[in-house]
Amino acid sequence: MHHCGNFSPRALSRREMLARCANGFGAVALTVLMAEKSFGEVVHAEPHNSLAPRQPHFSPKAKSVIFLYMDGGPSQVDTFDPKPRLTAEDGKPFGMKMEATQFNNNGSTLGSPWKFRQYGQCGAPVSELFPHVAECVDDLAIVRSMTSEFSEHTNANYFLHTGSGLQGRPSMGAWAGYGLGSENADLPGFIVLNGGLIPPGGLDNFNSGFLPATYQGSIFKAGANAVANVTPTEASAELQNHKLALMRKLDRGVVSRLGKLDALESSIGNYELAYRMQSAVPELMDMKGETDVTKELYGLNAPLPQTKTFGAQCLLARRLVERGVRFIELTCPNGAGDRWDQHGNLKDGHEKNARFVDQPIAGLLKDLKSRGLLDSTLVVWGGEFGRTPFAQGKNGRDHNPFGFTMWLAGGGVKGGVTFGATDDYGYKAVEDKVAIHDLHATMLHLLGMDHTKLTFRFSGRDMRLTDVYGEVVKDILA
Amino acid sequence: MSFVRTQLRTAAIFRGALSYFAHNISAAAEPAESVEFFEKRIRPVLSEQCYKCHSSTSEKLKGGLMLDSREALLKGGDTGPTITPGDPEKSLLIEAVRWNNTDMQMPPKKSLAPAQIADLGAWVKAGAPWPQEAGAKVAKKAVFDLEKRKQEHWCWQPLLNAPPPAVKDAAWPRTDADRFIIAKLEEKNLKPAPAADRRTLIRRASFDITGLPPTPEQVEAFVSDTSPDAFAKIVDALLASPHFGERWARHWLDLVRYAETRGHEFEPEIPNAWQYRDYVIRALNSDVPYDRFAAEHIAGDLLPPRIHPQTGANEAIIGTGFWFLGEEVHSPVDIRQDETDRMDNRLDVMGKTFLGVTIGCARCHDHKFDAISQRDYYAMQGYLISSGYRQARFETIEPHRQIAQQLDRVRTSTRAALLKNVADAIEPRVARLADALMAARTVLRIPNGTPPPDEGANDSAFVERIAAELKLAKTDPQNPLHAFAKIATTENTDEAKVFAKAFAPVLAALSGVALQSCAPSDVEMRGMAGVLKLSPTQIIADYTRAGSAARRSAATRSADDSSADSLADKSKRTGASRDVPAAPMTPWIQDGFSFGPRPLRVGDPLFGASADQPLLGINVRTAAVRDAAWKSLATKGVQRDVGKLGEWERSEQTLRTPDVALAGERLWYLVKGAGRAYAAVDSHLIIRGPLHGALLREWKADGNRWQWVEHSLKSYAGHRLHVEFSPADDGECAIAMVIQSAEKPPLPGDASARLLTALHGGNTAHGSQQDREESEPRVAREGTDKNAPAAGTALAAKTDAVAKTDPAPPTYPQQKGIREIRVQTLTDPSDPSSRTAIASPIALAEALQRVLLEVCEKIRADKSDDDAMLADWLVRKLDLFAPAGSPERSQLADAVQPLLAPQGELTAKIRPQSQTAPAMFDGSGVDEFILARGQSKLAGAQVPRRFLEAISGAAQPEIKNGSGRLDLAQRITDPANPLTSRVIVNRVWHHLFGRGIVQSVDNLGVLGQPPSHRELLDHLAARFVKEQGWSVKKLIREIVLSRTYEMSSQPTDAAAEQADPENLLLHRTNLRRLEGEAIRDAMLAISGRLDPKLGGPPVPVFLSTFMDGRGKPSRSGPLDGDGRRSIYTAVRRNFLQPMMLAFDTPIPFMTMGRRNVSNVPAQALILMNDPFVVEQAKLWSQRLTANSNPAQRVQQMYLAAFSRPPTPAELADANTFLTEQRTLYGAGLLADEQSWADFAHVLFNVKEFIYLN
Repeated sequence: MHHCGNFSPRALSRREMLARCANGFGAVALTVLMAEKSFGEVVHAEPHNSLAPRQPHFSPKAKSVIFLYMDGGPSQVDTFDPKPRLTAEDGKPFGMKMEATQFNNNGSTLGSPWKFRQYGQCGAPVSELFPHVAECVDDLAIVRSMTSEFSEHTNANYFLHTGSGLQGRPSMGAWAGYGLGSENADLPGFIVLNGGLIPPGGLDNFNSGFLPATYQGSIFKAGANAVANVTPTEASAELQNHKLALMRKLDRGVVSRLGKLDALESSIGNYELAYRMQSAVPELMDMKGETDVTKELYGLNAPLPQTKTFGAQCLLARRLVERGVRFIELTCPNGAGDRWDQHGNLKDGHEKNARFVDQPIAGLLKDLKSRGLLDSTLVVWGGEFGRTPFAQGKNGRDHNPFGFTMWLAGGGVKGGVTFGATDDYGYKAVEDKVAIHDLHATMLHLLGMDHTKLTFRFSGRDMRLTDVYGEVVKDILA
Repeated sequence: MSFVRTQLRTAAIFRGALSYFAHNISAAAEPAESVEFFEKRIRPVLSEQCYKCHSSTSEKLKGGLMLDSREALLKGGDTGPTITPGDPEKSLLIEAVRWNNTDMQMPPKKSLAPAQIADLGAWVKAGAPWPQEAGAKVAKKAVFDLEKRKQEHWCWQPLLNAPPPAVKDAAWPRTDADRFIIAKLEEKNLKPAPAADRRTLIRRASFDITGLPPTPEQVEAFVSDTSPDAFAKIVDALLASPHFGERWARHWLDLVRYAETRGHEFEPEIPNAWQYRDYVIRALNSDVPYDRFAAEHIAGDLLPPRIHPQTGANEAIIGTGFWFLGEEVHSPVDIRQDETDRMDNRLDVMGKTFLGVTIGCARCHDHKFDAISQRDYYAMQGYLISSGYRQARFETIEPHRQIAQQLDRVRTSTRAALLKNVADAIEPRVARLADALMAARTVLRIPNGTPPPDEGANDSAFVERIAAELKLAKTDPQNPLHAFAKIATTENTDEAKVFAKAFAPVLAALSGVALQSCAPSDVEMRGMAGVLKLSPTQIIADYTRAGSAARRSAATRSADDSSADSLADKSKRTGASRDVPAAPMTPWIQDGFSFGPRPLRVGDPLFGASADQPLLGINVRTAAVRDAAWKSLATKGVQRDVGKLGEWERSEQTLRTPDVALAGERLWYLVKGAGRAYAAVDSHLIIRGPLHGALLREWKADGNRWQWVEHSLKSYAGHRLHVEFSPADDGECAIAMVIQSAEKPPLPGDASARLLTALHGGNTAHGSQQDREESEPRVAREGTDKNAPAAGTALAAKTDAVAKTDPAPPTYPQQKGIREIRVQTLTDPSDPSSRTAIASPIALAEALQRVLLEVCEKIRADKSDDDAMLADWLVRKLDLFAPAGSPERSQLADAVQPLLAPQGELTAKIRPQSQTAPAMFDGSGVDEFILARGQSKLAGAQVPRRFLEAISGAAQPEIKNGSGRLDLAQRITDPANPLTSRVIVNRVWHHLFGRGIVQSVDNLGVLGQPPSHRELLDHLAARFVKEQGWSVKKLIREIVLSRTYEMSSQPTDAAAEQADPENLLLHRTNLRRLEGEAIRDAMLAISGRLDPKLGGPPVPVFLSTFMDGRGKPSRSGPLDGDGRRSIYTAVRRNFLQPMMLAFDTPIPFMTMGRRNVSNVPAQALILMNDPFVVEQAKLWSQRLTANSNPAQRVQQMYLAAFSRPPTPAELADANTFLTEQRTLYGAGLLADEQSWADFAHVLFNVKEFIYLN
């Protein structure tokens, strides 16, 4: 009952099918895609929209990025930026001028409830909140002088993700895909592993903005149906294969009737990718092959269900890196009040949030390292802003975009480095300020791209992730 | 606020720096003037810390600023001169290195050492000496030459008037457009492709015009129609189809970033945004000329209304809703920067949509490429910040305008008669008041309800009512009977001496109340502001000056209304305006008619609605007074804005003040009745979340009294705002003034000292002019009186502190001063009449009766303005003086019945309900500041509102009233403006050919693409304006009926493909992928599920498990969107339909006239596996079961999906597939159904389905 070799339902296993498609028809499709123009060019009739791998501007250090997005804004002075002065002046009036805050309900100086200890050869201090990550400090470049431009979650989220505080711009993952394409022909180039929380601003944090839809982030959820519409509705593979075979045949007729046009052929090729995704995704999500040791490392046996969730995401992130996916973003699990956004009950909320992510993140770093993947994988940790060193009400902290901490690891980043500094209170960055645009410039640099040359003409301008700003933070490069 | 604080702090630090410096100087003994100081301590800092970005050697010069010579420093960069020699405080260089302004910190990464900062300060203080050196460099800023740019780029040039070119193949062209196309092809020796076959053509035209496939019947009818105008008939039918509007509205919505929520964090709804969507559909279907359509977008609220023929609604006003379809933020910390972002988006969208130029690129600096200056940008931004938001009751606003005008006329003509009749009804008992008072006194003095002895009153019921009134009056000093009530119950007051003793304190206390007042005519002439001696900058709105409104609406006013001229006369007589500068008249800005056509004057009647209560009172203070006739307005069943503001009933009942800058921290509203105020600070609208709840203020009525209501706006000092007032309930609501003041202002009087004067001596003439004129100079003299309260002075001092810029510090008249003078006069022992006239209760009662009778006379004569408070009291006491059932009341009812009838007929026509839509609410004119680098904290000079200089020149007449958008609309749609017509014609071409004549449809500027056929574009544009009357339908018709449109898309001519690979010359038609909407709509149409209903509220979006986040709708919509066309699916910014996103429906944030055409696996996955697609395939197959012949069925399906029959091979493939699939399903009826559904599903997936050839 063969219709066409390409979609032979019985003779080939999925894997064989994949191989054949890749070499057969799929290869044709890829060639078509690759023949398209390189990025950065002005509008053409069919805008450049392929995921085929492209040459970076220069030799990249990182092939993939894992962005551990700490939704809500973790407090710098309670995690990686200890401030003895806060402890000394706890409960006293705050010693600096306070800028307007989101709630404008500012209290007195609030010392950190957590103790700090030095770790590793570099001796970087880390608070009790991150005992596992602390073990990896020699791999981290801790940037204590991050600044943002917005005190509101949503603006700050868009800013962190897209370089603009307003809605509708391409997310950094989309830019990475636009610049470099994907190493994996079966999976999207930008994947968001949804741990349960979608940040304020919603899915538009992961969208492709004015870039073609090709580059938008694909949301992966835990479980069998990880990706929208990736599971066939047919009762059996045969039934679907039959349909696809007929479709393929009819499409050939269409090409002969309407002419050999790029658009048509790309569209046909697209089905090959979709078809391959149908098998690639279940294979990706299937953790059976992972050892108990690995699972333990990531905290999959941890007591808190959220730790398990985030651990599974981190493990999945590694699997995606192995498959050449360009940009992976993890969002936090739900269950600690309101993300990292502790306007009150700092102690309880931050403790829970940290427990959800600490062991999984350390597991990810260690696992990547042991597999030799860390060198080519850039891991970035941080939120959209930090928190005020003074209290909101009695026991919370409000948003603080003037100085906060993020860290980077792997992918060409120097380990064991602490860069930049805030003032004595940890309120504002005063040394080596790093703006979000600088972070983006650095990330693109590590991916082998000059952020000033990665442009897309839209709206009468050559748009960039870094707008007209951004400087690579060279001091943290290996 | 923060800016002010920053400056203060800067000063403190600077003092510290100075002392540090002083110390340093003495230690180093090194005067800052010396060259050595410069070379040692200044140049190294500049060189090391600044030259990377600010020198002639910089790789990239930042901010246009060089610091490598003194001249360069003096010249400065984008933000102006860097130093003011001698004055570090005025030097940007010093401000920047101090790092106190978070928007300007240099060096950007790390602050300089304190010593270095001090050195720089000292150096500037010393005059910034710089050694003479050769070759000093000054940054050469590329000179922005607007005129040159205008000359050099085609889009600014007038439309070319090129005649259609001569062509070799004269037989081919059908239209002039065809000539332009073939001429270019012939230049390259190319031939146009042959015409497409009829099936292709009808499918193409049907999708292009209606977004839906033709039915098999339409296809077959066209194929067999041999008449020469067969295609024209098809095209006309398609253009007449209501689906035309739906299709082209979707194109339009891409331009105006149409969405129904504001996005951001919780994405609150943009209430009733869908009304705008339906407006666009209706406008396109009724072929509203494009210039009118565009003008309605810009200024539909100001244009003569376009009335919907069936509903009577004002269509035009809905057009302005497009401005408000953008993103909005709920709790921005920097509220002004947020405003500039919002306005930027509006201006940007407007510029691209209508003009095809990127005005938004001139926000931070002059446009890098186009003839658009930063000045242009902010000049145009002024239009927008002058225009507010409202939910407009577009259905009722025009009918109600008619009613309001007629109501005003009717009332003007019946006013005198009503007043007369009311006076007639009241008067008989007022004439018996003295007796009744005395009798009531007796009642009150006799315990336990012993029946009243008759003391001359023969109306015991009246006596009882008076007694009851006295009980109330006893505690209410505002009540005219208060004095009597106070002493009525006091023992032994009959004896003159004893009475005088008891009366004196009552009188004194009463005088305190009555003397708050000034003569109303004073107020009317100078405004309350003059009376309170407020400085003009403190006054935001002063409705106590009716003058301007009176002049404005003079046409509708009757002669017996006291006119502005007579006011001016009075003013001359009294010289009242001599010492106080006249405040500008407050413009009368209103949404709806609830506050009447103008401020209500003192003495104006408050009209009631029923014969039982024909008047509600007499107005006692010139003010904006809510007209009870409109109190039924209530918009139910429409979407509302989030939070409290949305709950407030404001549509068609809002009074808006002009815009001002808030000097201090609070506003004061002089009001009566319950009301609500929304302080629109920086046009911030969304009031939900931690910040900005303070923008709303609601208050309760204080009986019938006026009150100052405080609106604390701490943290908004320095921000621009206006206030919008609306009533809080069904009751009275009057707004007299809105002022800024640190402390509560005194309550100015609202009636007169009339009663007191009367009580004082029986002098029936009210407080004489002389008395008033004299009192004020005396007050001024008494200013230093030790007895004068300190409050006034303290208040004056604080007010002064707030309003620093006031030339003359405001001082309030010292009220107690007046009082003492008056009381003294009243009890003057040298005036015997003052003691003897009222020496007993009966004398007091008689005095009251006499005064009130006179007031009655004045009411009758419509001259009660100087006695308004007493007149008001009398009218409100109708039940007291003409009780229900009394002959007077019956007579009154009979007399006013016919008078009220016309008013009743009119008010009965008032429609409480209306749909609402987001729309503009024009305000007072405000000019925007030029913001350096687009930063709200770097405000430069204000620029007057005007249109683009490149189009309308630099000298445009000053805009005197309102925002000026009407003028803007005229300039945009002026046929002499070459952009507007080109842009729309190009957009239409783009949608019909898949590519515009200018490919970058939203940008005709330098960075856009050049036109492939400029003469053609200009020809079409000129014809569109002159011959087609801006008719989009005519334009489409002409293009679709051209040869060019007819061509086949098949690339068969190898030479042409070689010579014109991108088909820029249009040697054939472009193959186009259908938009997501058209794909989905086609599925619905073919499956039979399509519900062709037009318009209405959006269908909630179907929520897949992947759609999550804040603001998630509480329920999912139906999978198939109720079978409605895609344009009706809800557009929630953070919950966009995945299928539309995958097929490149733009994310609504900016104008997107040209969609991406991407190719993503999500598209294939949707078509392969999405339950919606599978469901539609199934429906389609079920629909065909009536046809039992499989071959015919396949034929029908091909006709439906592709407008053609299957080839024999395709038919054979279909049969094979169906057979095999049936076998897999295990045969049987169910298997047959499933196989057909599968076949339908396959057809949806064949590329021919989603492509238009």
